[in-house]
Amino acid sequence: MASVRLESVVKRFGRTIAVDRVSLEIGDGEFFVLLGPSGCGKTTTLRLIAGLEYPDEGRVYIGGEDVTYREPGERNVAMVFQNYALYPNMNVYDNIAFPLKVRRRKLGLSNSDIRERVLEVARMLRIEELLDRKPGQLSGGQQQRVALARALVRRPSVWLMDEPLSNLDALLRIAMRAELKRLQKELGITTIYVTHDQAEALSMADRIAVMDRGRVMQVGSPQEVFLEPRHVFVATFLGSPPMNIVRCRISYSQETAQISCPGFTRIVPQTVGEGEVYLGIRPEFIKIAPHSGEGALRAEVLVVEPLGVEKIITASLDGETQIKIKTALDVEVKPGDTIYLELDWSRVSVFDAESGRILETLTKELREP
Amino acid sequence: MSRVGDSPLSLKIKEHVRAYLFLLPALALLSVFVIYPIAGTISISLRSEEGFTLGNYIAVVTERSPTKALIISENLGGAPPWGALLHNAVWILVHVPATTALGLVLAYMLTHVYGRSVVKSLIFVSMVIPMVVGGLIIRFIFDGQVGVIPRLMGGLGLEDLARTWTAYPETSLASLIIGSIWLWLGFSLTIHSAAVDNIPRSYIEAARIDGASELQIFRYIVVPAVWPATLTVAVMTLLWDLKIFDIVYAATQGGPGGSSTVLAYVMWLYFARALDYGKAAATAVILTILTLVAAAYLVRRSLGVEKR
Repeated sequence: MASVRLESVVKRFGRTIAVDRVSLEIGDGEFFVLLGPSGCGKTTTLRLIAGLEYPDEGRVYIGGEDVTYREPGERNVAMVFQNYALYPNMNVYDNIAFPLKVRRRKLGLSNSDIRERVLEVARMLRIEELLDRKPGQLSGGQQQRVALARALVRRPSVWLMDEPLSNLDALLRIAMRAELKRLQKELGITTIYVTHDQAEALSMADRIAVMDRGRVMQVGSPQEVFLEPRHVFVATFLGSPPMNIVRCRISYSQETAQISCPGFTRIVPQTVGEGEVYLGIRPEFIKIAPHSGEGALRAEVLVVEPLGVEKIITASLDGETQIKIKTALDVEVKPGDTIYLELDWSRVSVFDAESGRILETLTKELREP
Repeated sequence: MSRVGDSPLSLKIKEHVRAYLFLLPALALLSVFVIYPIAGTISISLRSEEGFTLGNYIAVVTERSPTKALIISENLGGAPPWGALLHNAVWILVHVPATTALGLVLAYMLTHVYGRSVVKSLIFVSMVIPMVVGGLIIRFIFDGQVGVIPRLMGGLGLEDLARTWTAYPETSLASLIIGSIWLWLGFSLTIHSAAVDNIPRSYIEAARIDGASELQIFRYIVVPAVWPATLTVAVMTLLWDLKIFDIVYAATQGGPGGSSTVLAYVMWLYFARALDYGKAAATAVILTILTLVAAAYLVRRSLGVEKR
């Protein structure tokens, strides 16, 4: 068991910067997820921790020890690969035993010790009856379990996973999600998990780091990154559909400032500067009002998408700006209807239009009732 | 009345007839240029003054003159000549493992090297040059005056090896075998490189994270993964060693004193020097039978791979 710390780590491939001054602190026993679109540097960050890449700048610590330039085999980390990387010529038993066999002398293990430990993890992952099969004879889910077993057999201090569920079918993926999380909590292994799937991240993580173009945009609990995005990128990457972003202007009129958005304006109690901002509100926090009233926004329905238990409505605020609303299935609207929307102002976020960063004071002001 | 053409059996026959019709042109060509010559060779090899006998075969196998003998048992343990067939065997025993292993090791080592494609191309050049030219180059490499190897040996103080290798029975066969390792390495390296490049990178990375040393990765991950390629290289090299002729002809003419002669060269001596077509054909048949054994394995294996 160990904590992991990255100190302003930089990794370049030729001219592109894959990882740009990333600093992270991952606690002992934590389930930490690196989330981001493809090419955001999350896998490279994981590989830097594993030792498969060496950083150009910065340092990597595992358990307080500087391992920046240490060989991957000497970091006591285990990794589960996206394609599982099971050795096709060995049977399941030999695959799981491999990490112990190659370091047998160093670990001082006898054959029966190895056997015992392989059987132990096989039992834990319920693959005992598969031990003499070859990986090619296993289903995707079984291969996944073998890969997990191989990673666990050496009792690593850090467990690294690179999109381990992405090759499974949807149902199995959801089942494995719960199982992985249970396993991780049971064993208490510090886990760093890379994924581009926000549902995976939100459902499993203790904390999430959202990455974009090599940088960490925000680190926080699933709820924090979902409800309190620090950056427009985080707001628009998470959620399905993601947060609505509306371009607004702040202007002065005498004592008070005013935020004017397409279709509505609102007085801001205190002056907060001038210029363009983005107003963000999640589709979940917009309600359809029965009729026009104070503070209700007029909108025209463009598209209605029923999704089983809920509906996603795309509406237009001023003919141009589109906004998505998540409602219950029984809300009866159809394209062309005029509807009135109520925003839950306690859930809005305002971002600087240039940097994309959250404007904290303004957000706080707007959220005040 | 039922029509005959409708029964499944006759449909099947029709199908076969049609297939053979399509094969006919190719079969005709094959008959004229492959099957007839083979049959002809066998027939010549069996013909002698006493009619159809195995006389030519017995004569060829029991031949004792050093330049044409297939097996000279009394020289075994000493320097060559040991007989053409044994020379082929020694060639195979040394050349096949050496070329295969060297190509495999080099292919994996080159994955760690910057500019590997240049190195690979340079080594592959040996595969592109004609074998006759290769034979001549071997002669120069082992030449006492200008050759690299004798110079090197001289520098190391090995006076016995600092002379023209191809001119002494003790070293002529060795020089050809070593030269052929160089000539054939490009092939082995190219095939193995392709196979090594096909190993998913994650296999090797997983092994590295699991704490395997480079040697263990090579032994447990790389070698099993490229094994089919290795077998192909080994069998192809073996076939080539059985049929080998051109570099022997160009470098040593089987000499000195038959110390580097091989089966195909003996066949050529019977055919072009002695004009003894019966014995030449018998040698050719022996050579073909040996080659077929190796080739049959290769064909069966490649068919097996296709079925999978």
